[in-house]
Amino acid sequence: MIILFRNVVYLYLILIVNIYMCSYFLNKLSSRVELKRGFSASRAKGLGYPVLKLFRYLSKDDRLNIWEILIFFFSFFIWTIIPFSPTLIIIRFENDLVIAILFYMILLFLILMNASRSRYGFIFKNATKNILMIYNFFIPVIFCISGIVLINRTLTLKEIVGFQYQYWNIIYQPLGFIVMFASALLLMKLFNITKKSTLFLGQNIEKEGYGFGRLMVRISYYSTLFFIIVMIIILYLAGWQNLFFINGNIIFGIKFYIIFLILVLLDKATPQLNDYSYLLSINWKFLIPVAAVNFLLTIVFFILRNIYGII
Amino acid sequence: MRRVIKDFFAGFGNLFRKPRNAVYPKEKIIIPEGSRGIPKFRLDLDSLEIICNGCGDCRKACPENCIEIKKTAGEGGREVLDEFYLDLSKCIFCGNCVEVCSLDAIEMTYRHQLAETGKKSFRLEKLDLIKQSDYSLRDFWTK
Repeated sequence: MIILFRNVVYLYLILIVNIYMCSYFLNKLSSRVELKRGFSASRAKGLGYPVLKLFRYLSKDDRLNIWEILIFFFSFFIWTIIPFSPTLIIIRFENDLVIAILFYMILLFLILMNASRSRYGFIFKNATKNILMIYNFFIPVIFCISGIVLINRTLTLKEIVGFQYQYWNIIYQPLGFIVMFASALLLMKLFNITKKSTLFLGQNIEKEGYGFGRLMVRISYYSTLFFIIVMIIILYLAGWQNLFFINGNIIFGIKFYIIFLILVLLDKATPQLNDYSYLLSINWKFLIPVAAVNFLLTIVFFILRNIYGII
Repeated sequence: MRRVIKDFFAGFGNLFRKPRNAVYPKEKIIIPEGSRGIPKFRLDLDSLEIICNGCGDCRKACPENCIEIKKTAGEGGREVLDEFYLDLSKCIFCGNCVEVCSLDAIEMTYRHQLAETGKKSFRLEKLDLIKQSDYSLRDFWTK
């Protein structure tokens, strides 16, 4: 019981520290890319910025609704099954990859429900459109994950990491990695985490205020982004495997922040995508075909190796 | 796609460059050359007197009518400059007065911080305009 409690505390500490760091780095990186200084109202290079933002959210009174409470619960609950390290798992399942995907879908569904309760037609229309599009972007991701499952022949995340002790999965599935990365980038663009979104936050704040509920929704956006990044690391970049003599947990953190940095830079380098038909065409004309080809190649490879024993 | 890659590396390079904007009162900046601040009177280096003879060309050229000149009769019946007023609250720093002046008696300084407590202090007299010569160096702000 004590070990479980300790794990819960560790897990949420890691999450809170990461959300703090990502919020700080997003502000700094996105302004430094534009040769600006970023937030520096407080001393120590604007380290207090995320705290200030938190108080800005809490300063306004807002009635909590049931979806926001559920989002709050789920955005933390999703991390109980995804392992950051081999020991830091709270709920152990046999096929935790499937359950992780299921939880992710439920979280997205809750965000969808929360967005659709808005009184304003503009917010309702755009937010529901965005989240349905995020569901669309999950189709190629499922193709990629099934490819990985076929290669490693397991549905447990811990075992998938264990299989990569010699060669990382990115060597076997480079196309899958690219597709997964692209879908993570598009997810980041749709949630508009780097800048004040016109779709999710910008105009909503003026109409619907900050409040505690909006903070929860914001955390859930970070949670979904972290989910995709952690899945990329676990499935393709060997998770917490030691690299030479460096501890695996440190390596995990370094990989996380490198991917995060690349995502932020790519997000800055690409224009703001508000054209839904263009986004759909990216998905259906590039991501899904590439993911499907990758999956078919993996199936052919799987049949040749395991059924006919040729390779 | 090529443009995205180019922008990506440009953004990455920007992370290691110095930011363009400055934290204003804390960080000192050098004002660009040729920028126009408060006008000042030039002095004759031999006699240390004002070169301006009060001809009034600058007053005619001023689009905002912020210059006021009073003349008196001096030695030998010549008209000499008595009083010269410049209303900074009206001045738009166009530099017409400097261009028009045939004696080069007026010059623009680099002083750009004009915050004052009262409106009266914006009305500069002859002596005030002589004092502005401290700000004729471009990097006066950094000293």
